[in-house]
Amino acid sequence: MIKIVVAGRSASLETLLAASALLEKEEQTEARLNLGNPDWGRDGRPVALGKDRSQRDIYVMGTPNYRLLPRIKKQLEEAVHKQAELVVITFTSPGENLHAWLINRSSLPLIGSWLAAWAKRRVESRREEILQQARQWEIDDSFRREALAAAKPLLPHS
Amino acid sequence: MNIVYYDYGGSHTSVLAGLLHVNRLDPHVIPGGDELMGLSFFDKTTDDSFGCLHHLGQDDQGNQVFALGTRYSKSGPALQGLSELMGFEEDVYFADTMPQVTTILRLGGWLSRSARYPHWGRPLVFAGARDAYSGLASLVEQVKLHIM
Repeated sequence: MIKIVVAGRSASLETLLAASALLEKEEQTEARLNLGNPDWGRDGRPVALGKDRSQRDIYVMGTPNYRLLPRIKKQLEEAVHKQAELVVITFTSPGENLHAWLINRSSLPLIGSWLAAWAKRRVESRREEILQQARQWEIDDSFRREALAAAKPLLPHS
Repeated sequence: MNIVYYDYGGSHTSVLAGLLHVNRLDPHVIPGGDELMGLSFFDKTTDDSFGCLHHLGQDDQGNQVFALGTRYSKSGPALQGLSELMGFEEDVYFADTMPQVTTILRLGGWLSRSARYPHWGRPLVFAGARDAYSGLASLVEQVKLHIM
């Protein structure tokens, strides 16, 4: 089953919003309930969000070195000599470092929850722009089609 | 199986651990500065090296051993998660060498690789590598036991 992971600076802010745009309509609302949740994907592990219209599994992950993930994926494929059925999309957004800094301080006494709410507000103010950007992604899963074509048995000549 | 030792820069502790793993370094003999600089990839990486697997050799069991610089010191869950999504959890074993990175090594590594003052950074890197060496040798032993 093909998987798509949207990777960005923080799994609970811009990247979550962008990844949710790929989901089936009914699953979008559920994913967005975690917008601004500081514990959502905090350790950098991918978090499953649901499926898109083509029944592909959608994940979100947030890590400061997210720009390296496509290269690491390619390097691992070369080391293992296998192609993974995974598409990694990196999502960059203005202010992402500030937002991640704010949300990572959500456990501070007194001001923590205010900082997290501020980060969420800043992201929500750019909601349409982020969703628009995500809707324009053209997801290249051609390796999937190639794999299927290669697996198709050859028909005997009639 | 592929064994990937990773740290921030992919140029010091991960390289030493990988070379210990493939027996190119003796765990009981701490290498000197000249020997360290003669090692492949040791204190030689550039910004383009981040995210690249540097092949260090093959161990006694036929496992391929690599060093990786991730540009982030807490990459474990992301790497493991990515590998699981790729379906490679049986094919790749990640070992974190960051806990062995001492303050001196961190400072020396930064001066040598990031700030590009190797003349100032390398003496610190050598001292830090000396301090970290026995810890790295123990880590490699644990990894070898784990993958057996």
